[in-house]
Amino acid sequence: MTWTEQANNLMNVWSEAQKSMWQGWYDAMQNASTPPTLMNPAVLEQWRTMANQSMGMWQSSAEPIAKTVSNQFVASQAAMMRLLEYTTRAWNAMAPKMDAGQDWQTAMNEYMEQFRKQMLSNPQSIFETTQETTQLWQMYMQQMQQVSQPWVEVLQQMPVAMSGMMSGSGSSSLIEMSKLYQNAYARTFGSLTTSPGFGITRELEEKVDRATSAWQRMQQGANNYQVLMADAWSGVFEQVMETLVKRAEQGQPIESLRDLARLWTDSADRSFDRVFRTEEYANVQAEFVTATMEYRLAEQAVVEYMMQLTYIPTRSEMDEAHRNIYALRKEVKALKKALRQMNGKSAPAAKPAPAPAAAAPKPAPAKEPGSTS
Amino acid sequence: MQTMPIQITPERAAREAAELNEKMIGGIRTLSELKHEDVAVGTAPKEAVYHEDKLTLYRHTPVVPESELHPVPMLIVYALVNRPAVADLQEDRSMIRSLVKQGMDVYLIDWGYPSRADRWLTLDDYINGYIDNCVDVIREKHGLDKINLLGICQGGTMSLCYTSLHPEKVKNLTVMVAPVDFHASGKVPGLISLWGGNLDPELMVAALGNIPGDLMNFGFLMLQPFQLMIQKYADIIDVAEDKAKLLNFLRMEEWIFDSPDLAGEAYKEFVKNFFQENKLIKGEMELDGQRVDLKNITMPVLNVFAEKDHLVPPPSSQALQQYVGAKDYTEAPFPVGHIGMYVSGKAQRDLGPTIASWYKAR
Repeated sequence: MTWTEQANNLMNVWSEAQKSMWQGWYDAMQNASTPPTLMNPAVLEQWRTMANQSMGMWQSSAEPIAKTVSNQFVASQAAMMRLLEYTTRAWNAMAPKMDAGQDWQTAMNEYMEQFRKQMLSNPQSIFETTQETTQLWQMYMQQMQQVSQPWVEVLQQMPVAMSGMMSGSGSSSLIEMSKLYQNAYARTFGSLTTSPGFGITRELEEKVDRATSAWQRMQQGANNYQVLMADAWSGVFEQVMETLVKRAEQGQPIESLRDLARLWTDSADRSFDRVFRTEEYANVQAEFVTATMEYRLAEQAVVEYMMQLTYIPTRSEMDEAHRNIYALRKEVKALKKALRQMNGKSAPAAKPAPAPAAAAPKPAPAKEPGSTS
Repeated sequence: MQTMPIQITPERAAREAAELNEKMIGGIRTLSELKHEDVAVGTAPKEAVYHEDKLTLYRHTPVVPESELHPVPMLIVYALVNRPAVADLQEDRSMIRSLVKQGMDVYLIDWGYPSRADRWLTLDDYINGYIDNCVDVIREKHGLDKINLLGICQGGTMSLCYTSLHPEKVKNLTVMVAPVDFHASGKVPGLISLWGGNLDPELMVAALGNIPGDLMNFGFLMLQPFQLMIQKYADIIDVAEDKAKLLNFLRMEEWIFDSPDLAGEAYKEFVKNFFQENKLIKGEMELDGQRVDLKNITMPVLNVFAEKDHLVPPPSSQALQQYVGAKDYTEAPFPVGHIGMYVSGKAQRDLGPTIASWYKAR
């Protein structure tokens, strides 16, 4: 068999495995759709969606951790298929060259180079796109819309009179705020006018401007991080291919999907670990985190400005209140302790918990501008 | 012509995928039938004896007659990261149950789940406030001047600070997988120290308030991303139809993903003072204006560490010997990883008896 014929065989492996996975769910689920005949990468995503939907119905009352683990089962099987797909693609790209007499090392190096370029092109092109200010602004607005969406929804549910009072026109004040944003855009990016804005608009303009710059730095940080990840990922590919060839030379080919998946995951962690231990990674990661935190603070400033206009307490005001309460409690505790010591006692009064904390589920994290949860 | 390195036939692939599917669907069906009590962790019988803010102090119910109970109670101080239930995952994987069976009178601090209102809590509040109050409650309840302390991981570092500042209240100190020299790495540098050293905790806390537990968890998963996010689940599919094995796995998952947020100020202080500036071994750490001097720790010390620990490298824990004032200093290495201390068969068999016998001998 030529390399190309063997690579075609691998394509059949991938195809048959996917069909089999689909068929398995088709047999088990009443709501699953007919197994597709055409095998392509999109089928894997369709399968995953179908499997998750089926599980959702199956597990409506299951324990949260059981749901999470079930999803991970599906995700791990999808990952295994994706790794098979990568391997198949690589061999399909390399096989004709090897049939033409090229040695595997050269064929692999060429493939790796091409793979690396593809990996890097996406984040790079995204960032290059963001250099174009109109698109940058649109992307920023989309992000800001996500931030303000909960408030918009809340305001929309309020009595008309209240929202009218806030906006002066019966519509949400945030829509007006969006117009102000557009005005800010017109001033900052959309025109060559350099004259300063006035009052409320100028203040908002400054905050939005800072947030936009911070957002741009965050995108740059994300891009740099992606480049390092792509580098690590191409290292994984290289290790997998090298190991495969070595095993072939030693007459120990991979004979199961599971072994192939394990080869990938072992190689992946080794390759990522090598990158993770570099000073460069630590720096790029720290810069990305720093840029993200700076953006969150800038975003918070814009959101708080909007909240102040709508008479809603801000994160900063809540933090100030919490800090004061904390300081007062600390003072009271210190006074009580001093009092106990004066009375010859050291221990605070034993106060059993009203409900055992260990038995209580973790409370749902509050969605706050200053929280990632 | 070389042989193709992948010799999987389409028929074999189809059969293997079908088998995997079958196991997975069977496993998911088993999962869907589980109840909360099946996967509950931290279930060893216990009674809440003290409550302060979000903290609860538990006393584990003794299982030996009063006359056989060790006269000096021990207080377990766990880390602020994750939950102490890892020390009591299930009946046959429980350091706490093992200690109780050995006749130890075990108390445990449960820190609870800090909310945004707890953002301003400092290390001083945790160490000189909460831990000290718990120690006083136990001392008073038992009519003792001193009790035994067992600090785990970050809780070990905090226990060292506490003992240094309040040596008159601690009879014997055990630290377990506790970082001491945060810059010691041994053959393989700890990734957490490497990454933590470059972060700006001040900025993170300003932006986030508390540090989300999920963010910390993501950081831990990134230490071995493919093993912990893909391979682990692929492996468990093989035993997914074995309910007992699946439950073992699920309880561990339950613990891993039960991650409280970290109080912002305490996180900031911990990263800056310990990870970045390594102040504990330099004798520069201060809490409420008092210097933490490890030389003040003159009572017997047991240092339990994991030889394959990838989170707290053994040299980081072992550094303690150079800095404490204790003449009676013992090391107890275990041939496992950080989490292996709580789940490996050998560790589970030996850990409780090792700690209990050490306390009983003193």
